[in-house]
Amino acid sequence: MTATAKPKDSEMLNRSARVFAALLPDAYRDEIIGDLIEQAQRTIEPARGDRAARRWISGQIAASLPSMLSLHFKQEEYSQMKHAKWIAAVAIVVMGSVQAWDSGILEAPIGIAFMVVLAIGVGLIGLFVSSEGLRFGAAVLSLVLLFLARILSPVRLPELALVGLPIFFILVFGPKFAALRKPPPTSGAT
Amino acid sequence: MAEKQDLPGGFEQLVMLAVAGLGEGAYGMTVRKALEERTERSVSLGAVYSTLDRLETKRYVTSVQAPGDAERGGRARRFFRLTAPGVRALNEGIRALDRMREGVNVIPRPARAT
Repeated sequence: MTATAKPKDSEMLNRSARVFAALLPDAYRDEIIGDLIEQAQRTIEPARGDRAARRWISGQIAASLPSMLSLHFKQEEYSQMKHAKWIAAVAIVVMGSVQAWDSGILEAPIGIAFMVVLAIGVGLIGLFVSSEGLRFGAAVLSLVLLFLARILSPVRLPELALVGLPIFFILVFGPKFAALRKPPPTSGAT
Repeated sequence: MAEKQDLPGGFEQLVMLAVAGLGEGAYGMTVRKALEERTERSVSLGAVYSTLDRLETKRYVTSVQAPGDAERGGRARRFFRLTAPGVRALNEGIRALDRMREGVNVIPRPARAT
């Protein structure tokens, strides 16, 4: 098969495939999509046609997602953070708990308290997620939940962004700082 | 007793054997194809890569990324190969399995080709 007759990879990925691909871990996204495009062009497309090949790729990416879930919680630059991740997690829990307690959150309706706890929980989980997109999403979700809790609460809550902003900055910028301290690669990937 | 080594699990052993068998040409797609052909089971590419990632963390395999070509839409390939500790762990795992099979009559040994 000649390379010149091949469609571009963007033409091989339909809309659902692009959505599923965004959920793949960064570390292997290119390789997985490349492998699937290669196999689709070699075997699926000649036998079943272009549309079937694109559907096949989409299905294969979707089928790969569950087993790749754990890889979202692992990333090289994140491993550089080591203790910093746990220190940040403790800081979030301590700051969040103290401020939530001080705000009289226990007197707020259970739904509001749940939103605050959920926001802090999402922030904590975000610390251990490798995908930059998911981490950013966790940070934003955490902030939004805290703002909503403050707006919706009949009990006057203090500025919950005091909890949310540190979560946001740790989640979004923590790995960047860690990456700056990352030693040069010693093996393997080029 | 010999020094204890973290034995690779069942699927890890299959993946390592596939990588070993493919030699220089072991990357995601070829590893999956080898697994599917030999085991006659459907295997997701995600399962292959997550297993290879785990094996790399254990330093049983190592990987090198190579630039992609037009056939892959320019996307990179990642080639894997077994490391020396990987070969040792694989051999130890297979030996352990063989030892466990001894005396178990419900799983007869296949006839070895001579």
